[in-house]
Amino acid sequence: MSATAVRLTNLTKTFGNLHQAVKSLNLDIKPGELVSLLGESGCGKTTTLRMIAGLVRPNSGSILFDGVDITDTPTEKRPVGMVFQKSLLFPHMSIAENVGFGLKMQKVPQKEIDEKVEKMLDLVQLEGYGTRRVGQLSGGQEQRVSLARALIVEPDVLLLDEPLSALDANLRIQMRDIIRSIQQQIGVTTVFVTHDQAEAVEVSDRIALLVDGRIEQYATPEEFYTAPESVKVARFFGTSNLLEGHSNRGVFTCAFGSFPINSGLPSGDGILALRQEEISLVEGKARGPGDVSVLVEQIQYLGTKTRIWVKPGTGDGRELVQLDASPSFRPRAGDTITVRFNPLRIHILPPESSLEMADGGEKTEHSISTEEEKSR
Amino acid sequence: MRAAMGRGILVIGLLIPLVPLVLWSVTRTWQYPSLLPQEYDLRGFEELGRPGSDLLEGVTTSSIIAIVVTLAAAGIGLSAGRALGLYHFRSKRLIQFLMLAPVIVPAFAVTMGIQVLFIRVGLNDTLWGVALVHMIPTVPYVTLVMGGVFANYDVAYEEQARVLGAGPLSILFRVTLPAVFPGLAVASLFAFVISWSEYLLTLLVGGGTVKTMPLLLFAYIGGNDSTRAAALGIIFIIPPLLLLALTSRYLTGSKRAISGLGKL
Repeated sequence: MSATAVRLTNLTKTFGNLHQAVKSLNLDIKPGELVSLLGESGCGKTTTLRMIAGLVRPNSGSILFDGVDITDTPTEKRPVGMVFQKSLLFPHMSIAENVGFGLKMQKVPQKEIDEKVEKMLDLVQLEGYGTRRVGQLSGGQEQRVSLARALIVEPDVLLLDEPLSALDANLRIQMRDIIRSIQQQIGVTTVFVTHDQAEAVEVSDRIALLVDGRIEQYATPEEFYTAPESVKVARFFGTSNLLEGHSNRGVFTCAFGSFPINSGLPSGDGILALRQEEISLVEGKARGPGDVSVLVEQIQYLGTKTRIWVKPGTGDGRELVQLDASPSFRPRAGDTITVRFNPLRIHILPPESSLEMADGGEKTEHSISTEEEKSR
Repeated sequence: MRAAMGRGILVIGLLIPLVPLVLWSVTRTWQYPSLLPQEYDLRGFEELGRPGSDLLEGVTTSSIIAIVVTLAAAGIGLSAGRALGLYHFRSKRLIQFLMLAPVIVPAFAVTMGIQVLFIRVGLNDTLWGVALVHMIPTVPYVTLVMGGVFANYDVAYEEQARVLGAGPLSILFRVTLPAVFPGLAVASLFAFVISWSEYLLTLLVGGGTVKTMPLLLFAYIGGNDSTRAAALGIIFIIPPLLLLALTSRYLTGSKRAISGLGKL
C-alpha cells in the first residue's frame, strides 16, 4: 500500500470561460485519515469532492487513489462511496433495497446482500428498519441509511458532501459523532466537505481550508488555532486580534507595545495574531512580559462572559483588541485596566496588503452564517 | 360532502349519455313511442367474432397503430421532455415552441404536404405511414407532460446511483424510469387516446385502405344500421376506459404526474 490513499495534483476546474472554481490544487490524504475540505460557499470544496467522485471532470491535473491514476475512470468504476447533502434514498425501494443497491450493481448474490445489509443497518444503529419505506424515517435516520448505503460496497474512499447541513442542531451533533466513530471503526479514508469550522475541527484528522479555489492551509485542527499561516486563516478560525507592527530581533512592536517573540523570525513588517482567550486580566499594575496597561473602549455583556474592547493606554493608537472576562467583571468605558498578552501564544503572520482591523473576525463569522441560511 | 356531490354529478353526466348507446347496441326493434326497445339481440357485437369482418379488422388495425404510436411517442417524449425539463441550452424556448406547434397548427394543413411525400416514398395507404403521421399530435403531449415531470426531478438521484456503481442502463431502469413512471403512464394514456380516436390524419394518409375504428364509426353512423353503429361505439370506448382505470391513481394523485405542466 502506498503512503497516500488519495493524491490530487494540480487539479483545476473552470466553469464556463471565466469562473475558475478550483485552481491547481494539491492534496495528499493518508490511508484511514479523515480530511475536511473547509470553506465558505463558492470556495471550490464541493467541486473538488465531485472531481474525486468523478461527477465533475477536471480541466487539468490528476487524481490518484493509492498510487493509481483514476482521473479518467468513470464514476461507477471508482472505488468510492458518497453521502450527499440530501439523503437521496430511492423512493420506490425499501430501506434494505436502498442499502443493498451498490451490491446489486456488483451482481452479488441476493442472500449475501441481505446479510450485509443487516450488518450495515446494525452499524448505523437502525436494526430492523430494513422493511420500512423511505418516507417513514426521520431526516437523521435517512442520512444514516445513506451512510450505510455508501459503506456497504467497502469503498476505498468515503466522500461526504455536507451530509449534516440539512439536519437540525442536536441531530447534527449526534450524526457527526456516528460518522466519526464508524469512520474510525472501519478505518476508511474519508473526505468531508463542510462550511462549518467547528464541525471540521471536531471530526477531522486534518483540515484543508479552501479560499477561492486554493488551499490556504492544510494542517491539523489544533494548528489552525495555534499556528495559522495567514490572516485569512486566522480570521476564518475566529482570531479577532490582528495587530500590524514589525518584528526585529525577537521583539514585535505594535500600538500596544513590544512583545517577545521567537527570535528566529525574520525582521520586518508583520501581523500579530492573538486569540481573545489568550488575553487575560491582570490585577494591579503591569508586571511581567506581555502585560499591558490599556483603556476600556466598549463592553458587551454576553451572559456567560463579558466581552471587552480595549485600546492602548498610551500613544494615539486607535487599534482595538478584544478579550473575554468573567461576567461579573463590568468595567466602564474609559477605565484603565491591565491585561496580559500570553507571550507563548503570540503568533506572527506575514503582512497583508489591506487589513481591516478589530471586527474582521466577526465579519467572517457573520458571512458564513448568512450563507448557511441561504442554503436552507 | 361537496366532493361526493361533485363526483355524483360527474358520474351522472358521463354515464347518462351512455344509456341510449348501450340500449341501441343490443336492439333488434325499437319503435316510437316505446320507452325501451321491444326486442333485443347481440348481432352488433357478434361481428367482432366473425373472421374477416370490418369490425374485427378495425379493432386489430387500431390497436396495432395505437400501441406502436404510444410506445414510440413515449420513448421520444421521455428523451425530449428530459432535455427540456432538466437542462438549459441555447434556443430552448424556440424548441419548446416548435414542440408545441403541432398542437396549435391544424394538422390538416401539414398533412396535405405529408401525403404527397408519403406517396413518393410509398408510405401512403400503409399502416406504418398512418402510425408515423399519428406521431404529429401525440409527441408534443408526451413531451410537455414529461418536461413538467423532469422539471420536478432531481438528477442527484442518478449521481447517487452512479457513485454506487450503476451504469447508464441500470440508472435508466432502476432509478429514472421508476421515478418518472406516474407521469409517463399518464402521458402514454394521452398518446393512446389521441391515436385511437384520430380520424382526419388516418383518412388522409391511410386513404381508406387502413381502416381504423374512427373510420368505421363514421361509415356506420352514415349508414342506416343504428344497432351496428352503437355496438361499434361501445367497443370504441372500452380500451381508453380500461387504460384510464389503470392509470387513474396517477391522475388523481396528480402531485407528481402532471403538476409540472404549469411550469412549461
